[in-house]
Amino acid sequence: MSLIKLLELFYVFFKISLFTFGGGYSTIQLIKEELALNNLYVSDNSFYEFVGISQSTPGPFAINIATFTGYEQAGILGAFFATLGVVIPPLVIVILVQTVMKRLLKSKGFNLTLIRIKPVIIAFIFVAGLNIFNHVVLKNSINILNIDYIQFIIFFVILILAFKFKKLSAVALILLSGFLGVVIYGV
Amino acid sequence: MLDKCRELLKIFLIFFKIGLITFGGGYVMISIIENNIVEKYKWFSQEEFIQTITIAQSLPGPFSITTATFFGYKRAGILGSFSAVFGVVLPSFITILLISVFIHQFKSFKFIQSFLKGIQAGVSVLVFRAGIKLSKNLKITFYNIFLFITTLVLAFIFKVNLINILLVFLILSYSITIYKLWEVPYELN
Repeated sequence: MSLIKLLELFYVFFKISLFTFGGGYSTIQLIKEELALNNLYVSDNSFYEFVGISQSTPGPFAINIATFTGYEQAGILGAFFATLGVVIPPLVIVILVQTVMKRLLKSKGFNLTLIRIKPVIIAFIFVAGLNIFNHVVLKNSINILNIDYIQFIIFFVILILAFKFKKLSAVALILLSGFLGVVIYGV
Repeated sequence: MLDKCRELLKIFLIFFKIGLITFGGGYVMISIIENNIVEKYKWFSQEEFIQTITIAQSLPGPFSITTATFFGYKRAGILGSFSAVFGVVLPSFITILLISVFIHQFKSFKFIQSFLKGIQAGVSVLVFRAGIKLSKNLKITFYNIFLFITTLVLAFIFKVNLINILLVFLILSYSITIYKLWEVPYELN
């Protein structure tokens, strides 16, 4: 395992963490782009599968995805370096803010800027959703004949369930879609 | 010294527990953290808790990590924040490592393949649902709609790098904020 690869993983996830506001789903697309830009290849299918899996495992999404990608790229050390990359920026920033930059938190300019940027963060979530849908159901083509009908059916059923029964948790929805997959594609 | 160690261990254990029972990320976590450190251990008052959460949300980095760092620091300084972060990260690190190690073997079963294909189709629903839930908190103003649509078009259709989009809009938002503060200083202060 080359040291360069480990440092690369650290760097990529450090950068991702630094540009994460709020966390969660808004980072999906960011992570995918940065991995591709830095030649850390994870196939679309396994990436999106993992986004689903991580919904039914404990812990923050950003940590899960870093550990997973790090391991895929460079084994256990890779997982460690990628996770470290996610953790360091907020750790350092919060400690700085608490010690030497206390005034920053009281500055109106800082707070208002972060409130004003929110629509962008929310748009990032929709972009991730659209990209996943585009890849999984439409198979990345505008030709309507290329639609994966089975995937579309599963998507549609889960969509109806999600909006009809608002109480259904993410874990339940993921397990249901997996179950539908088993029913349709067979064992 | 011994007291300090015990305190750090306690912070670690509480955040380990929080990391272990949080499914599906940051916002679920808020209520679990509150349950533990406000109601059960009474480390912080409700008001202090809400203040800290609000600040943690606005700083860069995944919400769970910033929150853990904040509470750890407030309780026991820099070492406290290390134990909190270490605690919150460890459960998912171990779980995901195990899954990553075994997933390739699991994938040789048809059953698992079908299950994963189903998951692929369901994931985008979860993502859209989260997006819709968050957008309900947004005020419908020209500026918000403009930002939302421009970002969507730039990122989805023109595939512009997200960090570049973020940087441009951060600068724009900051300029507007500064301009408005300068224009109406009495209203805001």
